[in-house]
Amino acid sequence: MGRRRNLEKILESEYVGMSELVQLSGVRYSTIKYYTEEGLLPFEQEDTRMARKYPRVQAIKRLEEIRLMKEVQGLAIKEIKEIIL
Amino acid sequence: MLNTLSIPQEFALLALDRDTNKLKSFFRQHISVYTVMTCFAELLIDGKIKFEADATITVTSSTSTGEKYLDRLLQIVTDEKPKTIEKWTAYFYYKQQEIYKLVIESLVKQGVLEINDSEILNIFPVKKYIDINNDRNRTVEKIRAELLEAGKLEEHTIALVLFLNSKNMLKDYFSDFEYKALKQRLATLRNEEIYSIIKPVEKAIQDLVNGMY
Repeated sequence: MGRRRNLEKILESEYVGMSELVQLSGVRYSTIKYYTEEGLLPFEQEDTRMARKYPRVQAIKRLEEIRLMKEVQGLAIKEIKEIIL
Repeated sequence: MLNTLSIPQEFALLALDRDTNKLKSFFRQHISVYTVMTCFAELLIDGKIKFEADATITVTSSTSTGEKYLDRLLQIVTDEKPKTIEKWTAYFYYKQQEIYKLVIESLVKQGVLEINDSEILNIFPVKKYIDINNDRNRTVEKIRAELLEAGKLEEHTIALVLFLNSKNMLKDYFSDFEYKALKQRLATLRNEEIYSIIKPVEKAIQDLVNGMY
């Protein structure tokens, strides 16, 4: 994503970078990275060397779904993966 | 996606991280017994073995686990006279490296680790364990994502972290702040069943390492 964008610009964007997703969701960077690598978060990446871009609305929604499944429904990550994937 | 690794595999993967543990030569003496005891933890969690009233361990199911090192351990426990966890710890510390080697072999076979043989000063052979796909980092991230976030934890992750904590390895991978948070989270798990399963195994290793038997 390159240069740091202000919140207004981020909220207007269709895609956000990982740091921006951290900012929007309040979820730890390492947690988002882990969820991404487990296939739980949708993203696009032009090349493996390029930064991942997350569809802003879907990614926030998915993070909230995961949070609810963990904290409210009491599911572990393994169980959440079985539902989502 | 992360390779699905067992508790012994994840423990061994982190324990063989020479870049992180390179100054801890004493540490390396106990990798094998810790790894074997994580195999006991895995089998206890899966209900393949259990503690009897006299504290000996018996096999409840000898069907294959799908993992050679766990199946071999089940066979050994079946073939030998019943022993307490302390006696098993001593057995594997003094007599037996086979299970540990099978765990390492499984990591190589799964394409997780690569072993490079080299020599220091062209004399002393040394093995370097290369983490091919960065699974170490992913294991650490998994611990962060599970234990530092609210919500249900997997028994597998709790068991792994208890062993890593026992071996003083958590500080190698987590900041002081994260380490404190991890310890606080572990403290909340004291009444969980998994704690009562893992603690005797952990204590047995600690007692052996501290020369209690």
